[in-house]
Amino acid sequence: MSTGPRILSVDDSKTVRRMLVRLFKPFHCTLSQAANGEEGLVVATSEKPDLIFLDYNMPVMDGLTMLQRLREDVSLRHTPVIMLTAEAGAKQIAAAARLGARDYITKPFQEDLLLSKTARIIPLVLRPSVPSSIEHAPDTTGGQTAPPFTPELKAP
Amino acid sequence: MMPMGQGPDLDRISTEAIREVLTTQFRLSVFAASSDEVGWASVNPHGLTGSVSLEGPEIRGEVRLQIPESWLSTLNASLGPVSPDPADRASEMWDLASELCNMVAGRIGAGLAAAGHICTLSTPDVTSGPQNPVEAGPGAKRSHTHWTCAGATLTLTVWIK
Repeated sequence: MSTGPRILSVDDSKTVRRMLVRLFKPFHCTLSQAANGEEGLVVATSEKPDLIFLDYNMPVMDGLTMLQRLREDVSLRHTPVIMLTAEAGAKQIAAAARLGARDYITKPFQEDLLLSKTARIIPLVLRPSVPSSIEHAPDTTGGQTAPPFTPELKAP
Repeated sequence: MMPMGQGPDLDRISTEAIREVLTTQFRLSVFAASSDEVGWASVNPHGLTGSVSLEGPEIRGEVRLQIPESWLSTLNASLGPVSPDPADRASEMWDLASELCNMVAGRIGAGLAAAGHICTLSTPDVTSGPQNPVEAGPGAKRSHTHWTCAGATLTLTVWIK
């Protein structure tokens, strides 16, 4: 069975990774996770993702260093990368652009905007229905995988 | 360092930051807290506090966001199934507090940059329980605001100098 496009989320925040798991759950794709740039390189090398969401500030290896390493790797240098970060500085944005980041999304992010930017890079096809056995790659960071949809928290 | 008596409007920047994070990312409404709610929040020991340092060529400072644990627990559940393991659950809530503070600090950093004060953000720290008062020292600008969101009161403190 085809797993659809492969997406890799590299972020030290499990919260952000969970947000992406939930966001992409209705779509025919596989989402892998890594908690820093070093882990991200390992997962990217083994899984060859079609798109990487990359945080900027992370322990062990930051996003810019990971992006540099990706560009130095013959097998990964053309992998599209969207920076997803709270850093909104012009310097940081320029540095990511110089290393070929395809886009730059600042947190907090609008989910519709993130999906539309994703759809410009990889095909996003809705699953006919969202079965409970939806396929997601394991969270290699030790977290749980593929949480089901839950209602948004609404103000009273 | 930033000249005394000058500088950006921290209250406005803080207000825009917390509103943007809670409405854009979590689709929550947020309002300035009433004096009763502020009084309760100031003595509530059951909270987590995220903090992010700001550092730039002209300024340094800190963003602190104090969040009740019960509110975090509800928000955490909205992100997916909650871990049955209490340690994992606690870890998720600390991570959520950390990311909330990170996002708010990011927006505050952007607001400061727009006002001509460029700074970078540290990675967030999270602590539990009552907090020591912010000691920014002389010459600092400070914003201390309280927010009501989904029945809880959040406290945002920002200082720069």
